[in-house]
Amino acid sequence: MSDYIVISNTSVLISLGLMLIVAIIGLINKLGITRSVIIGTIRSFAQLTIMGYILGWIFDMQRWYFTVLMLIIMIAFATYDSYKRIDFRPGKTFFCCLSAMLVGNALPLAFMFYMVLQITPWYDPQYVIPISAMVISNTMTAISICLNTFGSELRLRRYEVEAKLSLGASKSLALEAIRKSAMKAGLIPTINALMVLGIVKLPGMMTGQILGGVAPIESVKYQLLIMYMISSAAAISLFLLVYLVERGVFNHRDQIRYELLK
Amino acid sequence: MKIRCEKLEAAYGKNTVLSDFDVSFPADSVNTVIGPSGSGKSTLLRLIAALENPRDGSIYYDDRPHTELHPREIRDKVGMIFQKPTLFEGTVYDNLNFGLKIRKKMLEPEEITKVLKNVDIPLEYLDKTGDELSIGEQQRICIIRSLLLDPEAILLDEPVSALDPQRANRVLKLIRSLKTDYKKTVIMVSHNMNDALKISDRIFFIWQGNILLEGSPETIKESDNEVLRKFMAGEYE
Repeated sequence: MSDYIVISNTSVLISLGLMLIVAIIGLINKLGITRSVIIGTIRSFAQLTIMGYILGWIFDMQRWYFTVLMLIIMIAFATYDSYKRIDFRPGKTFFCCLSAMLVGNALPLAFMFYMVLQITPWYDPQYVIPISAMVISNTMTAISICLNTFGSELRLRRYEVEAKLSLGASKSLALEAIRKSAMKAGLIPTINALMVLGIVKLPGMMTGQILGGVAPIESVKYQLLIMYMISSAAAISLFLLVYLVERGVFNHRDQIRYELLK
Repeated sequence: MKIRCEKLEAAYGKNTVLSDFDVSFPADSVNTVIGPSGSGKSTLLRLIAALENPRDGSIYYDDRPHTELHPREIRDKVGMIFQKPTLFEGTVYDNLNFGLKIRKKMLEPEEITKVLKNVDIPLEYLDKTGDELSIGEQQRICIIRSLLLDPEAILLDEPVSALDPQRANRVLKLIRSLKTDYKKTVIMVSHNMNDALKISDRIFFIWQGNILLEGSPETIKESDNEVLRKFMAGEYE
């Protein structure tokens, strides 16, 4: 590893001036975002700083239970955050999101850590925590886009679903087109990111590694693994999610629940 | 199939749409339920089609109450056509085959030729998608799609309200033929008295969630009921 420029605390404080520009532009144009910019700036500063110390401590401690605890906290927060952003909640939605998040992320992460990277020890926090965080945060966005699309499509295509039920379709077949649209909407940002990778976008992780002195081609390999994990985690999560969620769309008489259409 | 509703009550949240509602639709007849918007006509059809549950009361399908039947059994007996045509993804052929495929049947070539001829739709339309067809054509395909499953009754919710008079007439002719050629019980919901008079054996005038008048087209036409007169004069939308 070659040397990298160490950023002093003073440099970070000076850089905060850039956020001042955002606030001023918001104020001049009356965008109504100044409060959010200030809160966002303070929150990101505080959260990341705390996380920096916690990660440093966990890396030093090297205990499996700290890694596992971090994973649980990340999954719980990610599920809660995506749940908060969903306006379509057909029942047991939090549980559905949590299950999708757990299974969808665990499979590709386990595959990558233990079959491809073969990390030792199995809980090595230096790999497990940052890589899991990247994958989980992408799944979180995919889940909220997917479920919101599910809801809006159901409201828009309600008569199509009912026409299919009238023709004898099962609940699952009646929702097939909506399920497809929702999954597609949730996956599109990830697929689009694959398309522009390396041309208009050098991802944060890769940039970070390069700044840290890693050879670009090595950081590219890591980034590719990350993208593959992100894509498969999103696909598995959404696949599971739409099937779990559709059970709550109907009542015991196979009718769309009226309150979901409001 | 005879369909009878007894003491039916339906509501959306706190808004009661039908209350203590009784009606009986005789078998093999064309019935039109007519009334202003918000009078509960569409809700009535949705209840009969098992797309919604009544809050109270019963619906009898040839004397079998809805509570004794699984919604799928009801939907096998009753086809439903919506105001806006609901053609699905795929071609006209895929659409016509939709319900048959679920029942592990296939549309026979002779059958296709026959049904399309009956509704004045050219055979080459089979490969077209829904959006290549006019609204009237789409609605006729929806009716045929339902008819192919051989239900005992067909319900139609304002099936011609989006059509110009010429296209509406072709669809109305097809609706009338559901009884004359296919022996189906037809229940159509409409707010247009002229349409109802053209094709119905029996007309039911619904007002504020209840049947105010019922009878043959002639009886309804000659009725001096004040609310009906005002409705026909276009005073209620």
